[in-house]
Amino acid sequence: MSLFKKIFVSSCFIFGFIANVFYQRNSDIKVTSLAKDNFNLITKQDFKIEAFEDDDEEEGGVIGRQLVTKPITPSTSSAPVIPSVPIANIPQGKYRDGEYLGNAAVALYADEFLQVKAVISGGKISDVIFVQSPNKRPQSIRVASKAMPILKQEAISVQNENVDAVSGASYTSAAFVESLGVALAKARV
Amino acid sequence: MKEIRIIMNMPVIIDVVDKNVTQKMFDEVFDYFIYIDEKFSTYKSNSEISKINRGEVVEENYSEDMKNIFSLSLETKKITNGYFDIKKPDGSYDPSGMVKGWAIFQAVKILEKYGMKNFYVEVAGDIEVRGHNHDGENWRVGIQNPFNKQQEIVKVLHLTNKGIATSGTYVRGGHIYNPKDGDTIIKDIVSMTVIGPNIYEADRFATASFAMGREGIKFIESLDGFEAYMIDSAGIATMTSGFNKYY
Repeated sequence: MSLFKKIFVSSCFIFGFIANVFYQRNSDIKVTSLAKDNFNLITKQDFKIEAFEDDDEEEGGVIGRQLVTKPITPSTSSAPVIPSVPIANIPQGKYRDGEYLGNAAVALYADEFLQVKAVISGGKISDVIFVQSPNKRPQSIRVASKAMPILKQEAISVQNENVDAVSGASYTSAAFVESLGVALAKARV
Repeated sequence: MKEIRIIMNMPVIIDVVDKNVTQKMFDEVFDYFIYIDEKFSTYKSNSEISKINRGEVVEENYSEDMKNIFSLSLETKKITNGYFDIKKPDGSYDPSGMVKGWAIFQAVKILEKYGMKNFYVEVAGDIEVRGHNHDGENWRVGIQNPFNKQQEIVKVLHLTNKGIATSGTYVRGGHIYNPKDGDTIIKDIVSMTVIGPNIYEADRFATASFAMGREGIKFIESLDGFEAYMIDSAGIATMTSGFNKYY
């Protein structure tokens, strides 16, 4: 290849590279919907991209990135300490009637404990009651989150009504099983 | 009559109001959950799912219940656009997000078979309620405060003939992942409670909608016959437009 041709080809690459950089920095990017069937998970939105990370150019095209700001979370930034408690062997078999307190087992965060009381009636577990721990984590600062259109929002607050059952996601914690295991070991005949 | 047993390392609670309930019925339901645990527990090395994950069983030899769970999981994955997925980031299968609700639903059929009409069956916060409670009223179900594990209630609901499931952080001592984003752990919302026509439906959509993060409430809003109550990390709850009929 002649020298002139080499210079020409190189210039084309350099020019194209610079043009691509300018194009990406100033474009409005359309993110298309991922909606399928009868619901929209992410709706069509136009983003003005203020800044890119450098690796975008390697993919040879314009890639939209949504600027994400992290909400202020009430919890500490460190990951929860999941206690390495072996899965407790819940004693099977007959129990004496009465109420038996489990231990205050470490739950999730190092300064939080979970303690239960097993109620035995007719030789069977008729109830498991959570005992208020003296080491409750302080309530965190609540920050108002961005409102969703149409759907009603409210700040959660503790209700003092009696209920028949509770729906929650914490029963599978190792601490619950550990504390209950201790209570049942006391109850065993 | 009410009894609690720990199976699958979770409290299994049966409360029957009907006077003609017998211990035999309770034992049959608890035995069913033990059967489910033996088959589907990823913590048991001899369970069918553990054998499948070790590559010891080919698909055509899966048991009927296992085939059923895989088939329902695939269908749910399609409906939720991939947000429900029993395949984990490491390639193994963990169907617990599907099995819990499905098993409660099967257990309820056992009690119905015996003519029981007023009862609830719960496994670790996922509940199916039928008929009325011991006071002759709709069952009172509280939504647990996700910030205080001492069983504080933040909402009281009055339900009959419904399933209610709550997905949240720190489930099984681990996390719920966003299957669309590698191993990103869901942090923006801390609790998603879904009410549906039965616990199987409520459970699968609670799992999927929680994985969607904040968008999950919109997903439930788009489904007929389902309502939801989502709590974010700032303690603000968002509810679907028909949720108020339950409180």
